[in-house]
Amino acid sequence: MLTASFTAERGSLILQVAFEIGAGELVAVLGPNGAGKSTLLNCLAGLVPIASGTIAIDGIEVDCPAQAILTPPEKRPIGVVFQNGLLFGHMTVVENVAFGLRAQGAKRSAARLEARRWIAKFGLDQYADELPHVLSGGQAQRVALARALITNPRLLLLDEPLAALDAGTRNDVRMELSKQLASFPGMRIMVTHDPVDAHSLADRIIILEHGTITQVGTPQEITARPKTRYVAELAGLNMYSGTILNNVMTTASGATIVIATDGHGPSHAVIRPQSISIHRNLDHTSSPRNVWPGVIIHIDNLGDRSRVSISGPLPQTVEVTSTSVASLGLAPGDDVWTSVKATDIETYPA
Amino acid sequence: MVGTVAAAFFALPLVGLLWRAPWRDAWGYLSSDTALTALRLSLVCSTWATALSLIFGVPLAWILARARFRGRSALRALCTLSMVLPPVVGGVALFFALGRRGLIGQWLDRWFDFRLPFTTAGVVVAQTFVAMPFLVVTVEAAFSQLNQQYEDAARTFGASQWYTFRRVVLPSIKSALIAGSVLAWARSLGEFGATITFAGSFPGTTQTMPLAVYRALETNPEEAIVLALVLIAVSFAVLVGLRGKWLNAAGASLSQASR
Repeated sequence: MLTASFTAERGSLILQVAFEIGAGELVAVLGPNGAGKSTLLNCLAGLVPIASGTIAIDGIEVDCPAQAILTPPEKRPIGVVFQNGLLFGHMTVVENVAFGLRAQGAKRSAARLEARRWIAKFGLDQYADELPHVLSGGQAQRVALARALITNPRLLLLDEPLAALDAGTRNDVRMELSKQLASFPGMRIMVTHDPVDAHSLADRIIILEHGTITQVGTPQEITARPKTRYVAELAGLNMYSGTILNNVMTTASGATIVIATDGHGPSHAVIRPQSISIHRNLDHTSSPRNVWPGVIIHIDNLGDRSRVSISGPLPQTVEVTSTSVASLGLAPGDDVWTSVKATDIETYPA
Repeated sequence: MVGTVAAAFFALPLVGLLWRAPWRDAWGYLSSDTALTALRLSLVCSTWATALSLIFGVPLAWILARARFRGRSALRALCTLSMVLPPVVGGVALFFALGRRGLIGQWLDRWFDFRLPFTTAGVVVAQTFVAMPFLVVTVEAAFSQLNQQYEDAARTFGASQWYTFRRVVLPSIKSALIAGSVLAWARSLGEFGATITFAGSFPGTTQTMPLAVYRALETNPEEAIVLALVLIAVSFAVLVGLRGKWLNAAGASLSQASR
């Protein structure tokens, strides 16, 4: 079990986090670039000292400035898979994988034997005696994983393990990684800015924005009930924050949203882009109780569907069929009305 | 065209030497005791000076490249001063520091009965003094170009700082180590001013090839030409042996060091 509650500074970024990872859990730390994800990982690895707080692995404090505890990286029970692999270019694949054992004093022959076992396990036998530069991105990633796992760490840290791969191989490598990570019984933390990686690999997701944790939950919880605009955008949802009183939510900008569910006080509301309709004229006979004026700022044609971005009192992204875009003659700059049924709006406490 | 002129500028003196070389007596001069002794002394002293430069210069380069402290630029300037100093001045300075009446030398003499000037060890010290900066500058540039993430990675796999330095850092700067060593060795081989000032010119103990050439010039110019050609042949062999790769690495480091 990992218990972390600390602050750290890195340039202008102030990282302030508190979280726990259970035994055998795979947690993704998801956030935009510059949110402090790598700093967080480096703090756990002991490469960046924390300013205050504690980090404890299995109940043993490895970092605690107040008690002058700072365990150096080589003394922590960790393994790290770095962005771009960071394989040692002057060592063969076997030597790379055996590195951790050798560094900890294992005999050369014993370390190599164990390294070859891992290399075989990851299906890279024929590259064992090659230098890393002949490997593809996915193969290098597997070697990096073997190198991190060979010392049998308690905590495995992965820094954007798939970011360096091209789109073509990414899916395959992700599936492989998922299998290999599943076979590792320890705690795993993966830092990523890609929601697909986080959703497909992690048991739980920690959202990190501007150095602060903004949401924690299972992938399903996070996508269903985003707490910040960043998460809502990743999930492809329109999200609004405001205060609910008598089935009406009032946003900070003064727009009102009529809702069908119960709710009270500060809340979030999400609306799927497919649930919103666009109209040229205000049709008073229509049933929806939510009707807002807006101006089209952008239209993205996705084939048979189109995404229409609309500004107004309630900024929205709307997804409609491309046929209706054509039949309505929609174009950027047009004044339109949008409507949504109250029952298509989900709300939850902020 | 201009390039040809430059090449000719370097080639002509060599041709001049070859033209005046007393080819018939060459073997006699070469196999003379003085020549062989001087050549052997030169090779031994240069190799020692290179070894000392490596042992002390690599840690110094590491400090210059990685440590953050006030006065780092001043320290770098100090440690590379002997590259631009006239070697004779360096020799005089060494004399006042390590000579029998020198700052440190008087204590070495009094306590250990140890004297550097006019000894073979003195030659090595003088050569190290002028040659080490070439290695330091080359290796420092290589250190500062290293991606520190590799060292971080090594640490997370359980490697101590020392193990990381030996197994990750040093192999990564191998070509700079070779280039720096060869530059230092070549500089030592050609060293004249600091050696003659600090160590004198005694055949067998301190008279290296350049000193032997100089001495011969006064008594027997023909012998001087033969000795000079030997020195040139050795240096040329080293430079060719270095191949472009390492020389380029050294050149790049030197140009970076002058930033």
